[in-house]
Amino acid sequence: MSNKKGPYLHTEARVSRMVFDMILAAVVLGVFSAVTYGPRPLLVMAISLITALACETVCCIIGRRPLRMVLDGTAAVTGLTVGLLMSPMVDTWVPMVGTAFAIVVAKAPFGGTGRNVFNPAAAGVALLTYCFPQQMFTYPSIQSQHALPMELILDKSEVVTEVSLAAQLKTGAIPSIDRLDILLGNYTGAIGTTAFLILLTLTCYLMVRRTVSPWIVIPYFATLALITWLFPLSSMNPVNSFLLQLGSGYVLFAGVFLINDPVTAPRFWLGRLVYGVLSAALILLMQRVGRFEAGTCFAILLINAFAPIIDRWSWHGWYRLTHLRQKREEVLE
Amino acid sequence: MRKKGNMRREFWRTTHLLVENAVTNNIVLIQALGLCPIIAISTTLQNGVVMAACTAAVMIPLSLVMALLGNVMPKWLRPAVYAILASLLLVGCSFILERYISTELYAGLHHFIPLIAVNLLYARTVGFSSIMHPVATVMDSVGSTVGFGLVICAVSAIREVLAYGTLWSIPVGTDFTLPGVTAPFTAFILLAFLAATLQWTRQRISAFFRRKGEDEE
Repeated sequence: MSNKKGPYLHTEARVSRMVFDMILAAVVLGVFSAVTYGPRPLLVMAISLITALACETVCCIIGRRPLRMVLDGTAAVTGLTVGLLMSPMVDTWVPMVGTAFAIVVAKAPFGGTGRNVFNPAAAGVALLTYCFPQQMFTYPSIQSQHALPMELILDKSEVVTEVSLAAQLKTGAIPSIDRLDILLGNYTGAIGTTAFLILLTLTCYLMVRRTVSPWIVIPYFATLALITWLFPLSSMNPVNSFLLQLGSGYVLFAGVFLINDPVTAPRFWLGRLVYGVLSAALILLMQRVGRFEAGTCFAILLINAFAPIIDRWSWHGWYRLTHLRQKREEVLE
Repeated sequence: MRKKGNMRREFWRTTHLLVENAVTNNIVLIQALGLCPIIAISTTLQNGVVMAACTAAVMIPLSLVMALLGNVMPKWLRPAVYAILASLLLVGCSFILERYISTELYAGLHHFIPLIAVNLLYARTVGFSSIMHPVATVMDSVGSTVGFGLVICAVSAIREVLAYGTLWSIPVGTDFTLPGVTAPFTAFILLAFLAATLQWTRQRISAFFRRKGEDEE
């Protein structure tokens, strides 16, 4: 196996560049959401970010780690990711609970940045999904042109809500939405998950910058395409089915932010490939038969637990394959 | 004179057994025994206390009996006798709980009380009691019970406050409740944090005594 271990053991410059890219991507998504719903999504993200930094500071003090580790930015990425997965009209204590759980329970006890077994943001959002599905899955309507009020706790009766694509698919209904509308992100959902084309562009940008690995992302999307082609949603055109599946829930978002976390993903290229395929399959399974309309985070946590095994086995398998071939050639000679 | 020294040594040895199982080598947090009831039903403090009481009621008499009879019996018979005695005691426990204490509590717990029989006691009582002195055995099982009771009460109190905002069904005045805390995963997380705290405290204490010892020398 290569000597590169985690992102924390690469050069400092590399970590900070990855973090910078992720924060940039998060801000782009937040701004897109703010264009639709008014500045409230940015408020949610900011609260989440501040909570993450505060919790990380406390954990650094308790763990007697140097305080400059807070500024390495990974906590900020976690906070922003949790913020991006909130509904724009969520009460502001919800992202605070999620982020605090992510940092204090899923990240710090394992040893902080670079040592966590599970993706902290996915853990935080999974807790929120389990505890407050009402808060998480009530989305404001995209048709109403008014900006959401900036109060910390919204009066839910004032906001026109809309059933999200994922919830419609969950009930077995076929959403009446145009292909173009999906591509333009013209549907309701969590803050960071509806900007379809922007998310795809960001994926390409991050791949070019080597922040996300093509060995994970390409198998992920390929598997999604294959599964939706083989098992389309209730006799739908495969292309529509694929787009709908990507647009609903956190499926597309997970492909950019959650499964690419360099700490929890495998390191070896073959392991990454297997990881991408498996996570696509699990995420679709959770999405279609799970209890919640967006079970992506549970799938991510499950696949995270298997990542080290996938890594090891794939490496051993690859080594054996190449090694045996070499040996055979030697014998033949 | 020599006999007195022996007595004293025995006393400290048994006390050590008690403290060891209850606190420093806690049966749940360090030895990881008896996790199932804690994870499954420690959602209210009442459940926790009832479970701890049932454990005590089964474990202490049982270990005494095994200590007295263990040497007489052949090895292969011990588990069978143990299982039968434990089941008998548990039947009595469940009967008292259902008839005289609370039918509702029993309805919530009746799946888990029989689990006590095959749980943390099994390895300990059969393996330990049959070869030890009765007093040591009783001290050991009291220590184990106290250790188990402390942990289950702590976990269930925390979970009750977080999940329902009450303690022993009395409101404690917190508005914020996390309904998901009744799910098993939170018990795992709480146990992990408690275990970490205990390990940390243990290290502190032993470091303290080591430092003191070095100072004395």
